[in-house]
Amino acid sequence: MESILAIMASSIRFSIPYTLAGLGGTYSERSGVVNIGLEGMMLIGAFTAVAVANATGSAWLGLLAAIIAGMLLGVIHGVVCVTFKADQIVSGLAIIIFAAGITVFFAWLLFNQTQIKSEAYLRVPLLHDIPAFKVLFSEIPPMIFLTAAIVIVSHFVIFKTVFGLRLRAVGEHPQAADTLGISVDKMRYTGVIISGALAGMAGAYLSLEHAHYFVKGISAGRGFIGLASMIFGKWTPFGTAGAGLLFGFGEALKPYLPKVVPSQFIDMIPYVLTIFVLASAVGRAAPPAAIGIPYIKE
Amino acid sequence: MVAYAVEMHNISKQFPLVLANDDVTFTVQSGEIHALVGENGAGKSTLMNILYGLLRPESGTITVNGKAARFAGPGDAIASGIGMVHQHFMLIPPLTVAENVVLGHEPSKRGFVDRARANQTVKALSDQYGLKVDPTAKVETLSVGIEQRIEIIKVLYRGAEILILDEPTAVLTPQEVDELFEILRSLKDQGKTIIFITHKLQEVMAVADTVTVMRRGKVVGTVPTAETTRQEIATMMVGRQVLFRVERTQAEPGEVVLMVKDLNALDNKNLPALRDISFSVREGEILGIAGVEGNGQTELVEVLTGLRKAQSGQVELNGQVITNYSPRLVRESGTGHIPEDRQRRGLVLDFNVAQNMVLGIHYRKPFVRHLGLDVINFGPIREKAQRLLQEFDIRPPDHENLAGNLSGGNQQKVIVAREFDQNPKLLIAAQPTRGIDVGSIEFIHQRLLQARDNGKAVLLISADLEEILSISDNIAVMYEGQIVGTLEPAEATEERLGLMMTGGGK
Amino acid sequence: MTVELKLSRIFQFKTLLGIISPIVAVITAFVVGALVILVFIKSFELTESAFVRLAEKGVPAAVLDNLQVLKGKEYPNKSTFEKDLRAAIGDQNYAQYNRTIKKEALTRENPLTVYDAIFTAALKDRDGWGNVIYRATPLILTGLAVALAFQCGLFNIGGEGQMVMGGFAITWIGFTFVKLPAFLLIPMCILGGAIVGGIWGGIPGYLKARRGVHEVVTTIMLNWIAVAFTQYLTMAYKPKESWIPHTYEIAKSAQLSRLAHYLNPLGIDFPKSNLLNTAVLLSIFAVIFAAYLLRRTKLGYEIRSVGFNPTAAECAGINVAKNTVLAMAISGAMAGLAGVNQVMGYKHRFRYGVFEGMGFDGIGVAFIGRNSPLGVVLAALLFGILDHGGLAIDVSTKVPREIILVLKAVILIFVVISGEITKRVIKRIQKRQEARA
Repeated sequence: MESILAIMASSIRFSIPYTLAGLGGTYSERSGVVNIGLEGMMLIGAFTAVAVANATGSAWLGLLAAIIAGMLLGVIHGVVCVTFKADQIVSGLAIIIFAAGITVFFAWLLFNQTQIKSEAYLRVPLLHDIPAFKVLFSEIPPMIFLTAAIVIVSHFVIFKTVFGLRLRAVGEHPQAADTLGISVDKMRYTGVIISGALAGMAGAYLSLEHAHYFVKGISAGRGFIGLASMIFGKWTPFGTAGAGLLFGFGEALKPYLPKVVPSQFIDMIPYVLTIFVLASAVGRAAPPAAIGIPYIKE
Repeated sequence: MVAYAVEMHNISKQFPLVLANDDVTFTVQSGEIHALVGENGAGKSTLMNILYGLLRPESGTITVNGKAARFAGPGDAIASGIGMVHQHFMLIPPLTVAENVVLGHEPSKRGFVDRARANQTVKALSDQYGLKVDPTAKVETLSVGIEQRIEIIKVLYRGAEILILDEPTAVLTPQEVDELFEILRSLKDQGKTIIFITHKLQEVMAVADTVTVMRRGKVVGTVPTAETTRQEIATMMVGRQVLFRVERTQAEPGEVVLMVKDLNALDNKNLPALRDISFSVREGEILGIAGVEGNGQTELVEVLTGLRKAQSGQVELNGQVITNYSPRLVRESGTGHIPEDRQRRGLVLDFNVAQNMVLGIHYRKPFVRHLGLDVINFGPIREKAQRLLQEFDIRPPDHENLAGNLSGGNQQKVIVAREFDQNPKLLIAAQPTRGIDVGSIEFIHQRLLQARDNGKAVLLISADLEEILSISDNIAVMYEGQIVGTLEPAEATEERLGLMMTGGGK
Repeated sequence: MTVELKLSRIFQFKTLLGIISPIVAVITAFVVGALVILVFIKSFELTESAFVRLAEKGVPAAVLDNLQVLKGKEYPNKSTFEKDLRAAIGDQNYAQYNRTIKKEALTRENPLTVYDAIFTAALKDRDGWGNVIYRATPLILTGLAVALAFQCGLFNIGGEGQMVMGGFAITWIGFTFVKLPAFLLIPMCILGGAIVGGIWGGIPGYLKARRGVHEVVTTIMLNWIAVAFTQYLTMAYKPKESWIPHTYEIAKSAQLSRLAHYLNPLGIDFPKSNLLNTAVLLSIFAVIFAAYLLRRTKLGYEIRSVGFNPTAAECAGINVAKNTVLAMAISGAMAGLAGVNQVMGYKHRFRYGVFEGMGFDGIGVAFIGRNSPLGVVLAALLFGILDHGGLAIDVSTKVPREIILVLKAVILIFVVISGEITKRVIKRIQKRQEARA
């Protein structure tokens, strides 16, 4: 019984980066821009979070800085894909390479090493000092609540607000949206910048909470699993969170599995699953119709 | 209300290669249903695009409801109360009807879409004009007929008093057409002015008050429908010009080469495009299939060339059944194909002329040598290309020139040269002279006649009546996926053809 | 001038632009890199002249005396410098003078020195060149993989996965069939690498052709599956005594000799330690093969026609599905051969670390090389220069080696952007020509 609770708790914790990254991807792809660079945005968020947290002593500032760093990469992606209408996939790849380089570059520069311990912890001030809450919060990182809140809010934003409606319109049929006076470019920039912010947040969680340090390549493909979560979750916030939980569950199970099944095969599961989902009829119906195609006004 | 809702005087619009509107004067009375008819390329869509602010005329004036209008874009037109329902719908499939209608002008409460109010407004408009749409349905589940009504609501939602509909019945079933007419009458009863573009004359007679006919960029005439007949309009549309008939010998057709029996096929929207269509072409004969584009001709050619599946029916080439053969097998059975879209279907623009000359036969000797891998033999390819460049007078005569650099006429000549050189038993030519210069048109027509004289069977599909009349030995008219009549050239007058092409021949 | 001649002038203009844009991209990247270096690379050092300037600025002699401790010491890290400074002159003086002192001690790195270091290390002698070519060898293959797929209109991001799967196959054959002589074993290994890589590439090709699944996602997923799988296999075939995650060593007959082994007897002086080995011949062959395939075979013709215009290809009877799968399979096979250099020519064992990142680099190489075989070679050499020269940066300058990654990424971004701009400029010129005609 105890281990079941522990697994559940771990699942939720492991799912956070996947969910956040996947959510980021959702915003971007819903507007019609493929964002493969999530992995890079996550990495830069991870680094920035620790760097700023250590410098200022506040993990929350680190989180904020990570979000901004992610957004900046989002802007770059937007410029290349929306303004210059260049290939979205190559741009995403370039962002990953860029982030990989620049994070280690600055790690060496500022800290003289590639493994930087996070000296600050995400603590909710005031609340944390109340003994009852202390127990709660020391087991559960505050990011869980933040993530859950973002998932719920995203659902409403994407499906119930004016902004969300226009975002989806732009991703499905940009020409129709254009004829109705909606700025396709502006909506796409917004989608991409939000995706950068969320991916940066995911990275911040990785370095501040999950591992408590930044190390080169800490994202380890989580950005791609985030993409898989998004596809699995059919580009919806709740779906993505569910898929993220699923992948988190897989990760939580690892120490409990019989030694017979090699851990590497468990690692493979999210990827194999994604391929199956895509190859089956289910996967094909889903992505926003105009995705990946730069919108050029006639 | 002002007497005239719309007045367009002396409108001229020049495109790079064609004068689309030539000093056109077009007026619409308030509260009437006014039909604008003409063949493809007559200039009707251009004129309406100008009215809607999508295009700017070189000269002329526009007055809307008595006020002079200078539209910088559709926004201005909408502000003046003009709404346009395009031929190609601008609807977003996964969203609901209401969402599509209000997009861009959403009723909102603190940033959230006020779904209830949107649904209500849409329902109200729907009821008011008898449009019968469910605001909460997702567009992707709806038929084309309902999609069109959504477009109408979209336009009404934005306050349109003058509605322009571009070929509204092109995609509708007969019942949906009747329903549309009910709606149009209802709109008219409530004071709206309606202009609709069409080429289907029985519809014009059924619902329009006035009809304006355009031909080759000019207005031929404007008459109240009560005072005219379908025949008259057809004549005005098609024109009593002296047709340039090419000098040719009498045809001596022989055996049947192509036999099409009861062919059925669907279009891209899974609606029937070919309905039990049957016809045959003999060797030494040019069969011209006339018809306004959009009546199944594209799908017919695709089925015959293996690019589209036939649901039922049979295609026989010289007695051999080739129904649903792959494109390569169709070609190897002896069919040549000049596609209607030369840039998408006929050529690889990034390849040079020589490479395009062997497209489709590139795998045959002597163009390849079998050396484990099939290696390309450039010599024979170059020779063939140079020979054909000469023979067909293609300019510039450079076989290394990229196909994308050629003019439309020369591109078409490359395709014609390629297909002719293969000596097919059956040659399918779809809209072969669309959009090319007069000299090239003449050249291609002569070649087609030559092929016929050499015993080939030629299937010519064209929306250009002049072309059909000038080189066909036998004429069939296609309307809504069927052959509605066949005529000998002698009995094919412009009136009869025009009538059949617009649905009056049955 | 006639319209036709004018239009063919544009064609030549297009190839010219095509060559210029990567060069411009590289130059831009170096400029950006220079800016980064100038802005961010700071070190602190108190030289003799610094002391003089500090005295002129009015820093008291007592403080300067205490400061002597720090003379000549180089501090790449600001915080360490501050710590020592504080320790040397005391808190009070620190509060008063630290800003002045830091200003005088601040030195920036000259980007030109950095670039000079890169190019010198890479190009100054045979050892440098040898290393550059050695590093370019696998990149040529992974770059060709991406370029070939792109000729068919496909995005093969799976180079990483195809490479390790092929690489493992090479290793397995190498340590399983130890009794075979070199002339049999080496071709078998090469063939194995190509076949396994080809299968791994063919899978996403098939999924795209038959089920319309976009190859970008499937290739990325297969990358991670391949990495996990080969890691499992590595552990399965790991020598028991070893702590390092690598497999058994391949047979001597499967190992490729370094070029020094061949060049030195011929009188060409070449350092024995240089890693350049005979695998480079395979890469050169692959380039020639790829160029030949694309330009001179029926398959190449069909692949390119599908890449340029699948609708026209279909209409002409070309089997689009078959060509899609073939293009991806050949592409995967190319990537699978990268292991020939890494395993047979260098490590003689399978170890993931030896492969890491080359698949991704291959994508950069392909795009910077404009997806043409010759371009891939040039781009791979460029990357080789950057990679090898980058090692020297760490040693002789204060710039971290990772600036190379930044340079690579910026080059890639600019190549992509300039490619788009080129296309649009040409389209606009063409439209203007047509209108005038």
